[in-house]
Amino acid sequence: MVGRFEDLEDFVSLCNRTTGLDELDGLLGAFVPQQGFDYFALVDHVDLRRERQPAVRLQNYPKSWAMVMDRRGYFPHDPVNALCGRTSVGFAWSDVPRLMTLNSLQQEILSEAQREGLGDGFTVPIHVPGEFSASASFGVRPARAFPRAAIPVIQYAGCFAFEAARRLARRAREETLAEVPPTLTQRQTDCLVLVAQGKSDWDIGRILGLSQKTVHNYVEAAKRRYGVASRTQLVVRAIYDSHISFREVFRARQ
Amino acid sequence: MVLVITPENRQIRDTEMRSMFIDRKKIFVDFLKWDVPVVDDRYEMDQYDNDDAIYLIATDPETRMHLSSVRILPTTRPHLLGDVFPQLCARGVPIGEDIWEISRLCTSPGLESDVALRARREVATALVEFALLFGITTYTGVAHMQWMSQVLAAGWDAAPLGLPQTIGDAQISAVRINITPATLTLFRQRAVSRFPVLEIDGRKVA
Repeated sequence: MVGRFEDLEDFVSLCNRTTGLDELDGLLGAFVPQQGFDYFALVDHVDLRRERQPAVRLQNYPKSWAMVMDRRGYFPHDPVNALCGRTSVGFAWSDVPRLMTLNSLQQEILSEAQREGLGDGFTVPIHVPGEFSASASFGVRPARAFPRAAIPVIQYAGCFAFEAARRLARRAREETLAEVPPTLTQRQTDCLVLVAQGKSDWDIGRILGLSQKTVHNYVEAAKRRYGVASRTQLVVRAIYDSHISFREVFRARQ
Repeated sequence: MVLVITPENRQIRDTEMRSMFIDRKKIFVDFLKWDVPVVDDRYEMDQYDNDDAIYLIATDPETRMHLSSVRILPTTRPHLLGDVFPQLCARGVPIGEDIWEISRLCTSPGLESDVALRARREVATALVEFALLFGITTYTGVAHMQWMSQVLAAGWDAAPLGLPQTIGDAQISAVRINITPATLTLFRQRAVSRFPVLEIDGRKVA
């Protein structure tokens, strides 16, 4: 059931207690489907091609869309971001053409997003004085119904999730500066050992009694903690930092 | 410094109070177009500007003019959330000796932005100091949704009291803010001065 205040209260208190971006990622991963959405994105509106380090970027958009967006440098032209800069209240993506005049590139971006698996959605603008404007977005697959009954809940959820992400990103930056090596949870470490053995998410799920999706989330979370883009980099870094050992990796092979 | 104005010292702080009511009219009536009463064509004052109300006002010490302010009302007495917006509270309006309501938070228009920012921060810190001095654990209030991310980013420990609702063309919502010594530490770290900002006429604060 979408749009219930009780669920919002739970989400808010969990957000306030999160201690890592991967944990927040997991919270959103559970909360977003409960509210009838498929996708979320918490992002601040720096141009990702110029600024290498956005303070906040946490999303589960279709991979292909994220790649297209980065490769073609759509980010500064995205009409949803543009609209965020000039409105203070949330809006549905399907209302964007009505709320602003789109140029041809912006029209192309909207239809490309549809082709890459992103349907309708809702964006909550985040404005903090002295910082880049930002947004919290929630989307559905193309042709899926857009859960309007969830709007009051996600307006709040977007604000609290973004604030949690901001707090955690700030702390992560401070930790990076202090050169503290990242820590991994026990589950992330379990998954990582099996990744190093060349197992697929499906295999790992079978071995650990987890769903393939959960395994995927653990590995992605571990990648984020290390700030690396690939599984190979992750394994190399984790062995280098002694989070996992060669012995663990090779033992199970016998 | 931020003046605490109660019925006791309201007479001697008439200049500051008038200046605040004039600015409130400029902000809430002229700029935000709220449908609220105006007295003598220039003061925004309503039925809650009564002897229950306490004001925290940052003023220019030389001119005694209002810079930024807030009104606080005890929830055990008539207040906005209880009388006007109870529908915003999913589990009933929070009421108690240690729960006070914040309203009419405003900053004088036309100030230099650094002066305005400092005054707003002083009032925010004053709210926390006042709460800790007088045993207030929770503030409640009605907020526009577009300010929510700012409220959270400022470091307030806020939580929704119900889902936001559309009233006119505004999305508004009831919130509670928990006050702890940690809030004061955070605010003082960001402020220029680590000393108390509250000023109470004729009494030592701390």
